[in-house]
Amino acid sequence: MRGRLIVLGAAVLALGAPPAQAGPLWPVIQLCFLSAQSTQCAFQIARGDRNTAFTRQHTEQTGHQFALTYQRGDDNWSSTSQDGTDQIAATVQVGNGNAASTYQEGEEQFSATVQLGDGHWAGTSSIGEDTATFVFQSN
Amino acid sequence: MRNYVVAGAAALILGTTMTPVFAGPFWVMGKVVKECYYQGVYEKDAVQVQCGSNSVDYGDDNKQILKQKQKAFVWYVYEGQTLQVQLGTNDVDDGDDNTQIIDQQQFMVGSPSSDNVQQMQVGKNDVEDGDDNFQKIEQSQGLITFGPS
Repeated sequence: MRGRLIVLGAAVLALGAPPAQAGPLWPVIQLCFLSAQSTQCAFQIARGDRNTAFTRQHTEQTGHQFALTYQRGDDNWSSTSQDGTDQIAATVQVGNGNAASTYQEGEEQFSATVQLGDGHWAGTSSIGEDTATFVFQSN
Repeated sequence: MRNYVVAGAAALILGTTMTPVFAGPFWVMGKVVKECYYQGVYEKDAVQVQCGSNSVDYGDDNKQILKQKQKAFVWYVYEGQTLQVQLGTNDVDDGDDNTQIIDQQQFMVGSPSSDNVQQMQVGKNDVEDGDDNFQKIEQSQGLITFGPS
């Protein structure tokens, strides 16, 4: 699971996050790599106007939860809910009017949503074990 | 400023003697570095650590709420353990009418036995140059373990 988190962090940086964003965020993300039995990490970044991001993490087990939301543009909305253990959710929205919703409940779950452009909406729900969802929309 | 220099120097010195993975993030984290370092993230006998930071720089009508709660009923603490850590940061830089909320809760009952951090919560809101944003993070943990493993 830790390897996945490292890959995710590297992927986020490689996806095009400008150095000005990667600078302050990356050191904080590294905190999530500290050896811990139970870890919850949530990061929300916003640029632009009237963005809304809501993240909820809940666990009663050992394991890790990682949620990343990055929004830049206008009128974006994102909601991420994680309940369980060993869960990764990443949402990146750049553009106008995008909306995204991610729900995870279970174990060993991975969800990624990337939206670039105007007017996109994406919603994913994962319940169970060993699930993976990936949404990529570009305009 | 002087405090930051002192904190940075201390972190640098410690960074040469401690595990690099610890030294890196705390060296760069600015305010959180200073607060969390002195509150005992590095201290190997630390049981509960809470680090909260709200920061508004050049914005209007911002609202930032940071709630942190920890509970631990542990009757045996091994050397080298940090049991519960909470770090939450809100940051608005040049934005209007933003609202950022971080709510973190931790709960632990039992007798952890390894040298690792038992519970870690990290939450970060960041708005830079945005208007009317709303961001909220809720985190809750519960862990019950009994007896050394």
